[in-house]
Amino acid sequence: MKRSADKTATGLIVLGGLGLLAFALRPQESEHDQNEAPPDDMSAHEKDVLALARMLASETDNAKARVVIGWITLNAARTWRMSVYRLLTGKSGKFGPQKYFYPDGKKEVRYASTSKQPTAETYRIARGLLDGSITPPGQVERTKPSAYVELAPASKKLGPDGKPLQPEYTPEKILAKQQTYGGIVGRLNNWFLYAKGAQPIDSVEHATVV
Amino acid sequence: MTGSEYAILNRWSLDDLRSLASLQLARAQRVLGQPLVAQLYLDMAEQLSDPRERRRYYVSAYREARQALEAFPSANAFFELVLPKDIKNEIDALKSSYDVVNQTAKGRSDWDVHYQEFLQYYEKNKDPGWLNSSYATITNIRERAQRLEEWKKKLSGEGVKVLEPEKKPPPSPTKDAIDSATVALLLGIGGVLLMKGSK
Repeated sequence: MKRSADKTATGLIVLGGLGLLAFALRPQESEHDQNEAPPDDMSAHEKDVLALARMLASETDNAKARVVIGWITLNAARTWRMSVYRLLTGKSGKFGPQKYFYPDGKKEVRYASTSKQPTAETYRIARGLLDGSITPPGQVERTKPSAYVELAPASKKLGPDGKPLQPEYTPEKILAKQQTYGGIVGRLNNWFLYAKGAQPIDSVEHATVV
Repeated sequence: MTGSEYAILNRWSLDDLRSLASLQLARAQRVLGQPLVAQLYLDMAEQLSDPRERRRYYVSAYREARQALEAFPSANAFFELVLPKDIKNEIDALKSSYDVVNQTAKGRSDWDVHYQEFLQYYEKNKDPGWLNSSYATITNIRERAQRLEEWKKKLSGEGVKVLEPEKKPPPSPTKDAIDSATVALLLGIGGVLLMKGSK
Protein backbone atom coordinates (compact mmCIF):
# COMPACT_ATOMS: atom_id res chain seq x y z
CA MET A 1 0.00 0.00 0.00
CA LYS A 2 2.80 2.38 1.08
CA ARG A 3 4.85 1.41 -1.95
CA SER A 4 1.92 2.21 -4.23
CA ALA A 5 1.42 5.64 -2.59
CA ASP A 6 5.15 6.38 -3.00
CA LYS A 7 4.94 5.45 -6.69
CA THR A 8 1.97 7.81 -7.17
CA ALA A 9 3.74 10.64 -5.40
CA THR A 10 6.90 10.15 -7.49
CA GLY A 11 4.84 10.07 -10.69
CA LEU A 12 3.03 13.21 -9.62
CA ILE A 13 6.29 15.02 -8.95
CA VAL A 14 7.74 13.93 -12.31
CA LEU A 15 4.64 14.95 -14.25
CA GLY A 16 4.28 18.20 -12.34
CA GLY A 17 7.90 18.91 -13.16
CA LEU A 18 7.27 18.18 -16.82
CA GLY A 19 4.25 20.47 -16.74
CA LEU A 20 6.26 23.26 -15.16
CA LEU A 21 8.96 22.71 -17.78
CA ALA A 22 6.40 23.06 -20.60
CA PHE A 23 5.15 26.27 -19.01
CA ALA A 24 8.65 27.64 -18.60
CA LEU A 25 9.58 26.84 -22.21
CA ARG A 26 6.91 29.06 -23.76
CA PRO A 27 8.43 32.01 -25.72
CA GLN A 28 9.78 34.71 -23.45
CA GLU A 29 11.91 37.79 -23.80
CA SER A 30 15.62 37.11 -23.69
CA GLU A 31 17.27 38.50 -20.60
CA HIS A 32 20.42 39.15 -22.58
CA ASP A 33 18.98 41.66 -25.03
CA GLN A 34 20.01 45.17 -24.18
CA ASN A 35 17.19 47.24 -25.60
CA GLU A 36 17.40 50.92 -24.85
CA ALA A 37 15.66 54.04 -26.08
CA PRO A 38 17.32 57.40 -26.86
CA PRO A 39 16.84 60.24 -24.35
CA ASP A 40 13.39 61.86 -24.58
CA ASP A 41 14.78 65.36 -25.01
CA MET A 42 16.98 64.41 -27.97
CA SER A 43 16.05 66.20 -31.22
CA ALA A 44 14.66 64.20 -34.14
CA HIS A 45 17.84 64.86 -36.11
CA GLU A 46 20.13 63.66 -33.31
CA LYS A 47 18.01 60.53 -32.94
CA ASP A 48 18.61 59.83 -36.62
CA VAL A 49 22.35 60.35 -36.21
CA LEU A 50 22.47 58.10 -33.14
CA ALA A 51 20.38 55.36 -34.74
CA LEU A 52 22.46 55.35 -37.91
CA ALA A 53 25.73 55.42 -35.94
CA ARG A 54 24.58 52.45 -33.84
CA MET A 55 23.46 50.57 -36.94
CA LEU A 56 26.83 51.10 -38.67
CA ALA A 57 28.67 49.90 -35.56
CA SER A 58 26.40 46.84 -35.33
CA GLU A 59 26.42 45.78 -38.97
CA THR A 60 30.09 45.88 -40.03
CA ASP A 61 33.59 46.95 -39.04
CA ASN A 62 34.56 47.86 -42.61
CA ALA A 63 34.67 51.62 -43.17
CA LYS A 64 33.81 51.46 -46.88
CA ALA A 65 30.93 49.06 -46.29
CA ARG A 66 29.62 51.37 -43.56
CA VAL A 67 29.37 54.24 -46.04
CA VAL A 68 27.58 52.09 -48.62
CA ILE A 69 25.06 50.41 -46.33
CA GLY A 70 24.49 53.68 -44.48
CA TRP A 71 23.69 55.40 -47.78
CA ILE A 72 21.30 52.58 -48.76
CA THR A 73 19.65 52.89 -45.34
CA LEU A 74 18.98 56.61 -45.87
CA ASN A 75 17.33 55.79 -49.19
CA ALA A 76 15.27 53.06 -47.51
CA ALA A 77 14.02 55.56 -44.91
CA ARG A 78 12.86 57.71 -47.80
CA THR A 79 10.99 54.92 -49.56
CA TRP A 80 9.34 53.90 -46.27
CA ARG A 81 8.54 57.53 -45.49
CA MET A 82 9.87 57.42 -42.00
CA SER A 83 12.83 58.82 -40.12
CA VAL A 84 16.06 56.83 -39.97
CA TYR A 85 15.47 56.44 -36.23
CA ARG A 86 12.04 54.88 -36.79
CA LEU A 87 13.25 52.71 -39.65
CA LEU A 88 15.86 51.25 -37.33
CA THR A 89 13.84 51.00 -34.13
CA GLY A 90 10.34 50.26 -35.47
CA LYS A 91 7.30 50.84 -33.32
CA SER A 92 9.16 50.07 -30.10
CA GLY A 93 11.47 53.05 -30.57
CA LYS A 94 14.18 51.04 -28.81
CA PHE A 95 17.61 50.10 -30.09
CA GLY A 96 18.61 46.45 -30.15
CA PRO A 97 18.90 43.45 -32.46
CA GLN A 98 17.16 43.41 -35.82
CA LYS A 99 14.71 40.86 -34.48
CA TYR A 100 13.15 42.66 -31.54
CA PHE A 101 11.00 40.83 -28.99
CA TYR A 102 8.36 42.64 -26.95
CA PRO A 103 7.80 41.54 -23.35
CA ASP A 104 4.61 39.72 -24.38
CA GLY A 105 6.56 37.56 -26.85
CA LYS A 106 5.48 39.38 -30.02
CA LYS A 107 8.35 40.08 -32.38
CA GLU A 108 9.15 42.87 -34.78
CA VAL A 109 11.79 42.67 -37.48
CA ARG A 110 13.44 46.02 -37.96
CA TYR A 111 15.46 47.19 -40.95
CA ALA A 112 18.83 46.41 -39.34
CA SER A 113 20.47 45.82 -36.00
CA THR A 114 21.31 48.73 -33.67
CA SER A 115 22.48 46.53 -30.81
CA LYS A 116 25.99 47.97 -30.49
CA GLN A 117 26.95 51.32 -29.00
CA PRO A 118 28.12 53.90 -31.58
CA THR A 119 31.79 54.76 -31.89
CA ALA A 120 33.39 58.11 -32.72
CA GLU A 121 34.00 56.77 -36.24
CA THR A 122 30.41 55.57 -36.83
CA TYR A 123 29.13 58.91 -35.48
CA ARG A 124 31.35 60.71 -37.99
CA ILE A 125 30.12 58.59 -40.91
CA ALA A 126 26.47 58.88 -39.83
CA ARG A 127 26.67 62.68 -39.61
CA GLY A 128 28.46 62.88 -42.94
CA LEU A 129 25.88 60.69 -44.67
CA LEU A 130 22.99 62.68 -43.21
CA ASP A 131 24.42 66.08 -44.16
CA GLY A 132 25.57 64.87 -47.57
CA SER A 133 29.29 65.47 -47.00
CA ILE A 134 30.00 61.73 -47.24
CA THR A 135 28.87 59.90 -50.36
CA PRO A 136 29.37 56.32 -51.52
CA PRO A 137 31.60 55.29 -54.47
CA GLY A 138 30.39 56.52 -57.86
CA GLN A 139 29.34 53.06 -58.98
CA VAL A 140 26.99 52.73 -56.01
CA GLU A 141 25.40 56.12 -56.67
CA ARG A 142 25.03 55.19 -60.33
CA THR A 143 23.51 51.73 -59.85
CA LYS A 144 21.38 52.78 -56.85
CA PRO A 145 21.28 49.53 -54.89
CA SER A 146 18.30 49.22 -52.59
CA ALA A 147 19.25 46.03 -50.77
CA TYR A 148 22.35 44.42 -49.31
CA VAL A 149 23.10 41.02 -47.87
CA GLU A 150 26.23 39.73 -46.16
CA LEU A 151 27.64 36.34 -47.07
CA ALA A 152 27.99 34.95 -43.56
CA PRO A 153 27.12 32.01 -41.32
CA ALA A 154 24.13 32.30 -39.01
CA SER A 155 24.74 34.35 -35.90
CA LYS A 156 25.56 32.37 -32.79
CA LYS A 157 23.22 34.52 -30.74
CA LEU A 158 19.73 33.05 -30.57
CA GLY A 159 16.50 34.94 -30.06
CA PRO A 160 13.86 33.94 -27.51
CA ASP A 161 12.26 31.89 -30.30
CA GLY A 162 15.39 29.72 -30.41
CA LYS A 163 16.35 30.83 -33.92
CA PRO A 164 19.56 32.73 -34.83
CA LEU A 165 19.11 36.50 -34.72
CA GLN A 166 20.72 36.63 -38.18
CA PRO A 167 20.11 33.77 -40.65
CA GLU A 168 22.87 32.11 -42.64
CA TYR A 169 23.60 33.45 -46.14
CA THR A 170 25.35 31.04 -48.51
CA PRO A 171 26.43 31.93 -52.10
CA GLU A 172 23.32 30.07 -53.35
CA LYS A 173 21.03 32.06 -51.09
CA ILE A 174 22.79 35.29 -52.10
CA LEU A 175 22.12 34.52 -55.79
CA ALA A 176 18.53 33.40 -55.14
CA LYS A 177 17.74 36.72 -53.46
CA GLN A 178 18.06 38.37 -56.89
CA GLN A 179 14.54 37.18 -57.66
CA THR A 180 13.22 39.39 -54.88
CA TYR A 181 15.69 42.26 -54.64
CA GLY A 182 16.82 42.64 -58.27
CA GLY A 183 20.22 41.85 -59.78
CA ILE A 184 23.51 42.07 -57.90
CA VAL A 185 25.24 45.30 -58.92
CA GLY A 186 28.26 45.22 -56.68
CA ARG A 187 30.27 43.46 -54.04
CA LEU A 188 32.11 44.96 -51.14
CA ASN A 189 34.07 42.30 -49.25
CA ASN A 190 31.30 39.90 -48.23
CA TRP A 191 28.50 42.39 -48.81
CA PHE A 192 26.43 41.99 -51.97
CA LEU A 193 24.44 44.93 -53.31
CA TYR A 194 21.18 44.51 -55.23
CA ALA A 195 19.27 46.96 -57.43
CA LYS A 196 15.72 46.62 -58.72
CA GLY A 197 15.62 46.12 -62.46
CA ALA A 198 19.32 45.16 -62.69
CA GLN A 199 20.34 42.04 -64.61
CA PRO A 200 20.91 39.03 -62.35
CA ILE A 201 24.33 37.38 -62.31
CA ASP A 202 24.86 33.61 -62.18
CA SER A 203 27.81 33.37 -59.80
CA VAL A 204 28.82 35.44 -56.80
CA GLU A 205 32.31 35.53 -58.34
CA HIS A 206 30.93 37.64 -61.17
CA ALA A 207 29.85 40.46 -58.90
CA THR A 208 31.64 43.73 -59.67
CA VAL A 209 33.89 44.76 -56.82
CA VAL A 210 32.97 48.23 -55.58
CA MET B 1 14.17 72.18 -40.45
CA THR B 2 17.93 71.75 -40.11
CA GLY B 3 20.55 72.46 -42.76
CA SER B 4 21.23 68.76 -43.19
CA GLU B 5 17.55 68.11 -43.85
CA TYR B 6 17.60 70.72 -46.61
CA ALA B 7 20.74 69.10 -48.00
CA ILE B 8 19.00 65.72 -48.13
CA LEU B 9 15.86 67.14 -49.75
CA ASN B 10 18.00 68.82 -52.36
CA ARG B 11 19.31 65.43 -53.43
CA TRP B 12 15.85 63.94 -53.92
CA SER B 13 14.26 63.66 -57.34
CA LEU B 14 11.50 66.16 -58.14
CA ASP B 15 8.93 63.37 -58.26
CA ASP B 16 9.90 62.15 -54.81
CA LEU B 17 9.85 65.67 -53.43
CA ARG B 18 6.42 66.29 -54.89
CA SER B 19 5.13 63.07 -53.39
CA LEU B 20 6.61 63.89 -49.97
CA ALA B 21 5.20 67.43 -49.95
CA SER B 22 1.75 66.22 -51.05
CA LEU B 23 1.69 63.52 -48.39
CA GLN B 24 2.78 65.90 -45.64
CA LEU B 25 0.21 68.45 -46.76
CA ALA B 26 -2.59 65.87 -46.82
CA ARG B 27 -1.69 64.75 -43.29
CA ALA B 28 -1.54 68.30 -41.99
CA GLN B 29 -4.87 69.22 -43.56
CA ARG B 30 -6.50 66.09 -42.18
CA VAL B 31 -5.22 66.80 -38.67
CA LEU B 32 -5.79 70.55 -38.63
CA GLY B 33 -8.90 70.62 -40.80
CA GLN B 34 -8.04 73.93 -42.41
CA PRO B 35 -6.38 75.18 -45.60
CA LEU B 36 -2.65 75.71 -45.30
CA VAL B 37 -0.19 78.04 -46.98
CA ALA B 38 1.71 74.90 -48.01
CA GLN B 39 -1.03 74.27 -50.57
CA LEU B 40 -0.15 77.55 -52.22
CA TYR B 41 3.50 76.56 -52.53
CA LEU B 42 2.53 73.19 -53.94
CA ASP B 43 0.23 74.79 -56.54
CA MET B 44 2.95 77.21 -57.54
CA ALA B 45 5.47 74.41 -57.94
CA GLU B 46 3.06 72.62 -60.27
CA GLN B 47 2.90 75.65 -62.54
CA LEU B 48 6.65 76.15 -62.87
CA SER B 49 8.83 74.63 -65.55
CA ASP B 50 12.24 75.53 -64.12
CA PRO B 51 13.27 72.43 -62.10
CA ARG B 52 15.26 74.48 -59.59
CA GLU B 53 12.30 76.73 -58.88
CA ARG B 54 9.95 73.79 -58.63
CA ARG B 55 12.28 72.13 -56.17
CA ARG B 56 12.37 75.29 -54.07
CA TYR B 57 8.58 75.45 -53.89
CA TYR B 58 8.15 71.74 -53.14
CA VAL B 59 10.61 72.09 -50.26
CA SER B 60 8.72 75.16 -49.03
CA ALA B 61 5.41 73.28 -49.21
CA TYR B 62 6.88 70.41 -47.23
CA ARG B 63 8.43 72.76 -44.66
CA GLU B 64 5.19 74.72 -44.14
CA ALA B 65 3.07 71.59 -43.79
CA ARG B 66 5.52 70.12 -41.33
CA GLN B 67 5.71 73.28 -39.27
CA ALA B 68 1.92 73.47 -39.16
CA LEU B 69 1.80 69.93 -37.81
CA GLU B 70 4.62 70.45 -35.33
CA ALA B 71 2.58 73.20 -33.70
CA PHE B 72 -0.18 70.69 -33.09
CA PRO B 73 0.44 69.01 -29.69
CA SER B 74 -0.34 65.44 -30.64
CA ALA B 75 0.76 65.61 -34.26
CA ASN B 76 3.21 62.78 -33.86
CA ALA B 77 0.36 60.41 -33.17
CA PHE B 78 -0.84 60.99 -36.70
CA PHE B 79 2.35 59.83 -38.39
CA GLU B 80 1.72 56.32 -39.51
CA LEU B 81 4.53 53.85 -38.99
CA VAL B 82 4.12 51.08 -41.52
CA LEU B 83 6.31 48.01 -41.10
CA PRO B 84 6.51 45.00 -43.43
CA LYS B 85 4.43 43.06 -40.89
CA ASP B 86 1.64 45.64 -41.28
CA ILE B 87 1.78 45.19 -45.05
CA LYS B 88 1.55 41.43 -44.59
CA ASN B 89 -1.51 41.81 -42.36
CA GLU B 90 -3.25 44.16 -44.79
CA ILE B 91 -2.53 42.13 -47.91
CA ASP B 92 -3.67 38.91 -46.22
CA ALA B 93 -6.86 40.58 -45.01
CA LEU B 94 -7.48 41.88 -48.52
CA LYS B 95 -6.91 38.40 -49.95
CA SER B 96 -9.51 36.99 -47.54
CA SER B 97 -11.99 39.65 -48.59
CA TYR B 98 -11.35 38.92 -52.27
CA ASP B 99 -11.74 35.17 -51.74
CA VAL B 100 -15.05 35.63 -49.95
CA VAL B 101 -16.42 37.94 -52.63
CA ASN B 102 -15.22 35.48 -55.25
CA GLN B 103 -17.40 32.75 -53.74
CA THR B 104 -20.51 34.41 -55.08
CA ALA B 105 -19.10 36.57 -57.89
CA LYS B 106 -17.07 33.95 -59.79
CA GLY B 107 -18.23 33.14 -63.26
CA ARG B 108 -18.77 36.76 -64.23
CA SER B 109 -16.13 37.46 -66.84
CA ASP B 110 -15.31 41.02 -65.71
CA TRP B 111 -14.95 39.95 -62.07
CA ASP B 112 -12.89 36.88 -63.01
CA VAL B 113 -10.38 39.05 -64.89
CA HIS B 114 -10.18 41.46 -61.94
CA TYR B 115 -9.80 38.61 -59.42
CA GLN B 116 -7.05 36.91 -61.44
CA GLU B 117 -5.15 40.17 -61.67
CA PHE B 118 -5.40 40.54 -57.89
CA LEU B 119 -4.15 36.98 -57.35
CA GLN B 120 -1.09 37.74 -59.46
CA TYR B 121 -0.47 40.88 -57.44
CA TYR B 122 -0.91 38.92 -54.21
CA GLU B 123 1.60 36.24 -55.26
CA LYS B 124 4.14 38.92 -56.05
CA ASN B 125 3.68 40.82 -52.79
CA LYS B 126 2.60 38.23 -50.24
CA ASP B 127 5.98 38.17 -48.47
CA PRO B 128 6.79 41.82 -47.88
CA GLY B 129 10.14 42.73 -46.34
CA TRP B 130 12.23 45.81 -45.75
CA LEU B 131 14.20 45.25 -48.91
CA ASN B 132 11.46 44.35 -51.38
CA SER B 133 8.59 46.63 -50.28
CA SER B 134 8.07 50.27 -49.39
CA TYR B 135 5.39 52.65 -48.20
CA ALA B 136 4.12 52.66 -51.78
CA THR B 137 3.20 48.97 -51.34
CA ILE B 138 0.70 49.67 -48.58
CA THR B 139 -0.69 52.64 -50.50
CA ASN B 140 -1.27 50.31 -53.42
CA ILE B 141 -2.93 47.69 -51.21
CA ARG B 142 -5.27 50.33 -49.79
CA GLU B 143 -6.16 51.54 -53.26
CA ARG B 144 -6.99 47.94 -54.14
CA ALA B 145 -9.11 47.61 -51.00
CA GLN B 146 -11.00 50.70 -52.13
CA ARG B 147 -11.47 49.17 -55.58
CA LEU B 148 -12.83 46.00 -53.98
CA GLU B 149 -15.37 48.09 -52.07
CA GLU B 150 -16.47 49.58 -55.40
CA TRP B 151 -16.76 46.09 -56.82
CA LYS B 152 -18.90 45.01 -53.88
CA LYS B 153 -21.26 47.91 -54.48
CA LYS B 154 -21.42 47.10 -58.16
CA LEU B 155 -22.08 43.41 -57.53
CA SER B 156 -24.73 44.14 -54.89
CA GLY B 157 -26.40 46.52 -57.31
CA GLU B 158 -26.55 43.70 -59.84
CA GLY B 159 -28.21 41.34 -57.37
CA VAL B 160 -25.13 39.33 -56.33
CA LYS B 161 -25.09 38.42 -52.64
CA VAL B 162 -21.78 39.78 -51.33
CA LEU B 163 -20.37 37.94 -48.32
CA GLU B 164 -17.95 39.31 -45.70
CA PRO B 165 -14.95 37.40 -44.28
CA GLU B 166 -15.23 36.11 -40.72
CA LYS B 167 -13.41 38.32 -38.26
CA LYS B 168 -10.96 36.47 -36.02
CA PRO B 169 -10.36 37.90 -32.54
CA PRO B 170 -6.76 39.09 -32.04
CA PRO B 171 -4.56 36.65 -30.07
CA SER B 172 -4.23 37.56 -26.40
CA PRO B 173 -0.78 37.06 -24.81
CA THR B 174 -2.39 36.65 -21.36
CA LYS B 175 -4.69 34.00 -22.76
CA ASP B 176 -1.70 32.24 -24.36
CA ALA B 177 0.10 32.13 -20.99
CA ILE B 178 -3.04 30.80 -19.28
CA ASP B 179 -3.38 28.21 -22.05
CA SER B 180 0.20 27.03 -21.45
CA ALA B 181 -0.47 26.73 -17.71
CA THR B 182 -3.72 24.84 -18.38
CA VAL B 183 -1.92 22.38 -20.67
CA ALA B 184 0.72 21.83 -17.99
CA LEU B 185 -1.95 21.23 -15.33
CA LEU B 186 -3.95 18.90 -17.57
CA LEU B 187 -0.78 16.93 -18.36
CA GLY B 188 -0.18 16.44 -14.66
CA ILE B 189 -3.79 15.44 -13.89
CA GLY B 190 -3.89 13.13 -16.92
CA GLY B 191 -0.69 11.42 -15.78
CA VAL B 192 -2.06 10.85 -12.27
CA LEU B 193 -5.30 9.42 -13.62
CA LEU B 194 -3.38 7.10 -15.93
CA MET B 195 -1.27 5.80 -13.08
CA LYS B 196 -4.32 5.31 -10.88
CA GLY B 197 -6.00 3.43 -13.69
CA SER B 198 -3.02 1.12 -14.18
CA LYS B 199 -2.81 0.15 -10.48
